[in-house]
Amino acid sequence: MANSNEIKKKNSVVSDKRNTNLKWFSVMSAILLIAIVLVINILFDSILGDKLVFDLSATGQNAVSDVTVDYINSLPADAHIRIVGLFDKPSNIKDTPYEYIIPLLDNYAAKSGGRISVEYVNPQSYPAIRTELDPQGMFDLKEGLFAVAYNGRVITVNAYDCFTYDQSYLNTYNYMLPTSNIAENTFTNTIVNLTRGYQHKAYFVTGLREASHVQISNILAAFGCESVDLPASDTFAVPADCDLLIINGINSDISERMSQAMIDYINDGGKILVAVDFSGNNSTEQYLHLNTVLHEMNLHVDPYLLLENDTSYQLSTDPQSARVNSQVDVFSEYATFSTEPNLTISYARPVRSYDTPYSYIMVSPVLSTSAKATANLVDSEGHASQFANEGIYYVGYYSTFDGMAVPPEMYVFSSMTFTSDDYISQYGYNNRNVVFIRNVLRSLLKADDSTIVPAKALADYSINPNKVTKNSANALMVSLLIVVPAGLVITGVLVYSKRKNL
Amino acid sequence: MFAIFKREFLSYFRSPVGYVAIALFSFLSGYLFINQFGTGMVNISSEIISLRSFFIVIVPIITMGLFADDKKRGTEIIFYTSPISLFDAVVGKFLAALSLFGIMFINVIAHMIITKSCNGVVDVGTWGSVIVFFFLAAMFISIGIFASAITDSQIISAILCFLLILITQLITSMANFVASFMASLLSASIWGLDASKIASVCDGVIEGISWLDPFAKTQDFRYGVFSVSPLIFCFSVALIFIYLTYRLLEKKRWSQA
Repeated sequence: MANSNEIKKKNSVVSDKRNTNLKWFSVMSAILLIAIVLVINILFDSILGDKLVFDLSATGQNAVSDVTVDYINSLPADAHIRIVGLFDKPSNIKDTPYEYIIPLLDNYAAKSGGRISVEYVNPQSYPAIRTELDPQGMFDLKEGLFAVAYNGRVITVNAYDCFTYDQSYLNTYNYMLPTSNIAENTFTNTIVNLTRGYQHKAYFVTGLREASHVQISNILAAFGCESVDLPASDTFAVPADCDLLIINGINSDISERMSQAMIDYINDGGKILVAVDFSGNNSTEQYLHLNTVLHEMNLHVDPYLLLENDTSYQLSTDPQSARVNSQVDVFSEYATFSTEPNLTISYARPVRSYDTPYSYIMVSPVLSTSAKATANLVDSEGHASQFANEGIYYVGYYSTFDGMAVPPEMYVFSSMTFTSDDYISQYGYNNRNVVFIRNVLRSLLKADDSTIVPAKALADYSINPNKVTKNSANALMVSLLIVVPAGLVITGVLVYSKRKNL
Repeated sequence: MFAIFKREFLSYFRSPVGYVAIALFSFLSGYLFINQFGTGMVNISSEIISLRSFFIVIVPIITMGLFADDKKRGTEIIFYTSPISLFDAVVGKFLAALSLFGIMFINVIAHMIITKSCNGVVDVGTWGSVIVFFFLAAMFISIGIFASAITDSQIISAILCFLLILITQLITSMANFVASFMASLLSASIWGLDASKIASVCDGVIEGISWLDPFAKTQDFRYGVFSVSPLIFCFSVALIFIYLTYRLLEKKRWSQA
């Protein structure tokens, strides 16, 4: 009996399982914590992640503006725009153009309500991306660009197009010095033109030693206006789909044939913007044929250089440039076009009303000098001599026809400070002259539903150059790189030697 | 917890470790600052972002001895016999290491003062970088503490911590590598997936792995763009590693090994 009890006792010995239980508890609790944390993070990221993003930077460099958000929200909910960077996403964007683009694109995606996706695919590692975006092979999807795709259409954006650059710096030093950030402007214009399509077409007269028109084309794109070159030729004709003809900074006169084609265009109710100046490239140019076109609208550009003699209008203290770089007054009828009562001009010609005797032609001055300006003849050696008395001269004029269902309209500016790439690049899209010309274009194109995104100022981290002397830099270098670290190491050694035996 | 914190924090200054770590940080941050100062353009957030790259060196130095040293000397028994909880001990050590980072950061504060005195800019992006710096520091310190609790060798602990931080720094590159490997595998496979499906799989892989990259998540702070989810991510990772460290130490109570 006793034996059988002992056997029973032996069989019923309960082994200590606490070790195993605690082991399982430990492992399972760790797994559970990781799972909970992962789920919370994923849920938070997907539900609130985009909402709890705050751009507190002074200029909102990395946040899309209300203009962009409003436009994106106006798109159908099922619209899907793909922004694909055709390169590997850089891990370090510091001090690269992407510094101002990649965070902004993230914000586009965050605020688009799922209408915009942003991805980075290197065509070298995944060549199929090109056919995926552009099955017909119609677009040039070069590596390194951003491709913005919508409904089978693609527009590419170069990172360097997302900034304006100081043109004079570029010409002098061959270095692209950014002056403002237009990344949002560029991408929003691209999205607008992809989704809405171009609604207008502007033709630039080319082949007459004219100025480039990259920046003014960008501004036109914001109005849904496509820019197309119209080269000077013997068979010159203004296309039927031309909404706006732009003669921008030509340094040679147009031909008689071109002049006639433009007059025909005017009589069909065409819109023309003319911008010329008085520079070394055109100082002897009389623009006889161009003036023939202008005469049709009762306007005329004179072959003189305007000099401003009122010091309160002069923009420079340098006597060489003070009289040619000056302010002009905006006429009250055009005050709504301008953020300021004055705009700036440089090397301007006088523009005036002509003596065409038709009463249906309505002309009105837009910009004028002070009452102390003079018109000057410039000889072949560049010496100016006063041609006319002091008085008010005009550098901007508007003309239209009265009583026509679709009247022609013409703006003439005799300074290139409104439309030249040099000026717009240097001063950016928020400059008063640029805002003014943008409103002129809006008025000519009747583009009231335009999507204008202002340029953003770049952060300036420069320090007072007077304090960055060689001596101060050396003193800082010695103290920060030698004195402080060496002092700490010596202290460490002393502490070690004192305490090593404790 | 405060007792542990105080003991550990002061121990950094009773041995050369704290001084060497601060000296190293001081030299690196000073070098980055001087480089900018010489060009006449000082962006403190650039300096702070660059300093994040040196976590891989500084964090192992700070954390390698936190538990490994106690284990080696046998003083870890204090944690099991004293009335404080083991979790408090882990958190106390964690806070001590984080506070040392705070001491190191005085260098950067000095650079900010110099910049301001030279009419430079210390903008909201700079403060964003500071916040990110400390959240990332907390995350990596927790990883370092975990590495230190695994072994009783400070060297092995430092190497392990170095490797773990290295992995976090290479996550995005690894994502691309894994995606391209998968793309080649899938395109050569018998499943006959078309290119768009392979691309979407690869995109998913890249997105999934890159989601774990703390550097990518937090890079917008330096531009003044504040986001809550990256901070929660860093805090979560720190919490996980602190808990893992606690469980690892707790194991000694019941382990028969």
